[in-house]
Amino acid sequence: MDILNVQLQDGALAAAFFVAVFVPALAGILLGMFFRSNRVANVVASLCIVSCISGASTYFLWNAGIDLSYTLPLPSAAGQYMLSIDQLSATMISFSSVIFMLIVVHVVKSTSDSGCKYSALLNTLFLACFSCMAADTALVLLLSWEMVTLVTFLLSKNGDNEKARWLFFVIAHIGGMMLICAFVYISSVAGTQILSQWRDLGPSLGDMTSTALVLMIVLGFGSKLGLIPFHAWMPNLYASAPIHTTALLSTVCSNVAILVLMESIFTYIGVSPSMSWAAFAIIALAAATALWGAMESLVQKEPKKILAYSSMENMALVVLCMALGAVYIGESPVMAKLVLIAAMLHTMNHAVFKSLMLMTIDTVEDCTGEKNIGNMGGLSKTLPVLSVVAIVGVLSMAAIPPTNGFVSEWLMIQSIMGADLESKAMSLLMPLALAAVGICGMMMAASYARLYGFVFLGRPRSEGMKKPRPMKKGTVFPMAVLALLCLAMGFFATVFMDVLTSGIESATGIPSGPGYRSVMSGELLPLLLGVTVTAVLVLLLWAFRKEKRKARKTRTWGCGEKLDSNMQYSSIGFSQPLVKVFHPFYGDTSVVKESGDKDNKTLVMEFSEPFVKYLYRPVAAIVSVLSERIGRIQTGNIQTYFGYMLATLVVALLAVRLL
Amino acid sequence: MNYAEVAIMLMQAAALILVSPLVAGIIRKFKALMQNRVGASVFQPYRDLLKLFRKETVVSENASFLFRAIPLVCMTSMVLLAAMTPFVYSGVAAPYADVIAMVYIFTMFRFAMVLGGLEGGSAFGGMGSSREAMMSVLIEPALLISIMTLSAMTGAGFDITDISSSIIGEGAAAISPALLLAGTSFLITMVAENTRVPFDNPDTHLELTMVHEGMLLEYSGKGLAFMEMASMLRLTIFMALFGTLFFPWGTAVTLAPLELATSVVTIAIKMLVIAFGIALLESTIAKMRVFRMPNMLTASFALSLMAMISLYVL
Repeated sequence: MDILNVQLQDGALAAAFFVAVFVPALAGILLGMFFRSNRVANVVASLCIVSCISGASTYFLWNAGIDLSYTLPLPSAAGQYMLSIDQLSATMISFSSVIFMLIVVHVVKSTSDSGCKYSALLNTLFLACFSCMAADTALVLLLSWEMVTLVTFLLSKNGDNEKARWLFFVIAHIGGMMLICAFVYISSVAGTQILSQWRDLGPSLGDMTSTALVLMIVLGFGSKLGLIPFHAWMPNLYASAPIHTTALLSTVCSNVAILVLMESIFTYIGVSPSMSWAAFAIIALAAATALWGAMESLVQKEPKKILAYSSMENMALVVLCMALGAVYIGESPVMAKLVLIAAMLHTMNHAVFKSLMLMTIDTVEDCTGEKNIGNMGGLSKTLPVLSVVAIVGVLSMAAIPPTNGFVSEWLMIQSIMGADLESKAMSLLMPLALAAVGICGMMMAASYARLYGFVFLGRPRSEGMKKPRPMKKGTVFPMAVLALLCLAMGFFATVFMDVLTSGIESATGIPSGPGYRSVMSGELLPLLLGVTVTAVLVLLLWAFRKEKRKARKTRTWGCGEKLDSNMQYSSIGFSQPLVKVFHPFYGDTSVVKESGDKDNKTLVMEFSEPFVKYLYRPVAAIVSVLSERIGRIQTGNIQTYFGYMLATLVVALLAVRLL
Repeated sequence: MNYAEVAIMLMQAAALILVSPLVAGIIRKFKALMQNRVGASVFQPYRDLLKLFRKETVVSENASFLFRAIPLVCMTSMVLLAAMTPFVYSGVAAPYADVIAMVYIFTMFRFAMVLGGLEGGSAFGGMGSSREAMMSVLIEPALLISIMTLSAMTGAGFDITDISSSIIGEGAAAISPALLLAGTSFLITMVAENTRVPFDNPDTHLELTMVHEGMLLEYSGKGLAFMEMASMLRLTIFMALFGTLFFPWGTAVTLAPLELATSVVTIAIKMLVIAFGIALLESTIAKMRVFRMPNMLTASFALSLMAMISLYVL
């Protein structure tokens, strides 16, 4: 053992670990840059999978007590390339690596012509996400976060979706700017770039400044998570980008954002009582985002857009939980622990069910060639395996017990209600937060029922749906793994919560004293409920196992008429009552009557994003007017430019001298 | 927890399940008497269920595997709920007796029903599902908040078993604005959730007005029997919850035989009163238009929210 210990010193094992993560992926990037053939693309993707497997081992290595930090011996203009993994990031890295791996497996199995470039970019994205989560200096963090944005931008190229891509690019960079400003400012105050030395900098930053920094960081990451009004890029990019890009953006990139957000607020800056109004503002923003996402998802025509708004809703709930954690932390640290565990667990659960559902929808589109939910239907008869996998994903998105989605919502509601706060104003917030979570939950459930019901149930509404191509071989494997994860994380939620606990304790500085179990009701509930549901259901199924053979098959009753494919409820009609109830929020629901001929009129409903119409378009118009005005100084005359330079120089020198 | 307690708790869950068709029969009898009819026997629902159980099952050729599973899922969720509902004794058999879990099991039932309505591709089923989805968005939050008000009010946490005993322990002091508001909201929720008049008419066969029955249109035989049974059980569970959580006086909190006997009598009286109330409502009020329902449901939601806010303000 002694020999082993000696050999393990000097971070040799840590270096070996980082080599195992980086080298395969880097090799993949190199291969992908120089080759074109599809066979090489598979090799590149396999190298990415190797890196993912190394990444997945992070938590176990950390648990074995190995200090996972490493400094890249490269010179840089500012700071060093340092990586260091603490417990919370180790957990998230392992988990995200598994999700990343399953998505890459799905890429390999489902696409035959994705090409080397796409695979190489996947490798880059993995490394960027990994080093963002493992970053130990602000330099690495900001560089890799920028890398994540750039690579997802490149990965989302898909035919004619330039507009959606660039909107994403611009909005992500507005957020990125805020992050750069915030982190550069913090490092100038802290006097160091090394993140592990940033601990509760709030007092040295001052109350106002730290609150402003927290807001900037929340909005900065919020631009990726889809907080209002930054969500404008989501639906179009989700609908137009390659599905695997969307899946990675929605799961792994969100995990990264949530993790760094959590560490920035609770570790680097630290929560002080003076931030409570900012916490209120964030709670209000998150609740509004969640409600908006839930409402908009109900009326979307493309399944991918439904999932885009669902991502927005889920991430808003996570941000809401974090803000609640900031409110609780001063008064009742144990509750803060519980609510932060709920936030992290929901992030993980979301990654599982969202990647599962995106893969499912991709398979549906791939097999049938349909993109519009209005033309779908009846797939559960023709693609039974897919429909089984999909129903697990849908149930877990809709938070139906005993799936994982239920457990994290259950924890959220518990932690909203369980807190006993001194301040009346803050306690009043709790019923409202509960109402928001409740309404969102039910709206999303309705939306997911619509998603499953109009894709898989009923009669096929178009030719493509009647005879879908069979699923590609092997694509079901990653989906089945994710579906099993949905169930396992529901049954054994406490295992994951225990893993998260000490990570959250060390990240937030909450003393490990009483565990979350002391404030949580029914720690065994997920397991017991799951076992009971399964037991009763299996018992009933067994008792009536002979029914299937005996049942007589016949046509659906249609008042004597033979029902054709359009004589069933439509997906737009399904959400119509809700649109009518909540009509003030839907804005311009223009009902266009297109008259092709005199007797046949079509009713078209258009739901436009009010944020695009009333916020983004006017701002864009102002910017283009302004830039036209400013453009006039660009005369093209070289003497004029020399004049500008001289003027700038004089002003700059004066400013330096006088300030 | 000793064997006698477990036995009593299991018995009360079984009693709840067995008595539910009777409750439906009693409501029908009350209605018949109010409308000057003799009406069927109170045991008619048992006969109906038995008959349905013996009938052949006919399944739409468009329906998938889910269609067969849905009646069983609905029944399962109601059995789970029956095991976590205090009926005679305040303790319950279920080890998962959590108020939040209770609301989510109701959601599970509803979700299965909505999917079932979309099976088979019938226009009626889709319409029922669509309206059910609209109602659920307003009903479930009200249910969640009114029940959470109870648990916050008593400070008993989320365990169902503690709620009734702590309300009884407080005596008359427990009758607070919060309890009254939450109770009212719960009553509206009960009527809406069980699709009774004025929200829906369980006896209707006029397709354009129906919500719940629309979703059941494609079921037959044993499947229909399960769905009907689950609906009756749902109503009974709601009535029992009102009688033991919102107005718990009389419910046994110990295992003393006298107390249990009183409890049986009081819960019977409470259920009869609620049944009479429902029958009275159904005989005197007409069904609402579909798009007037949200007004009523929003009122219920607002009441529950006010109940919870009053906890913090008063």
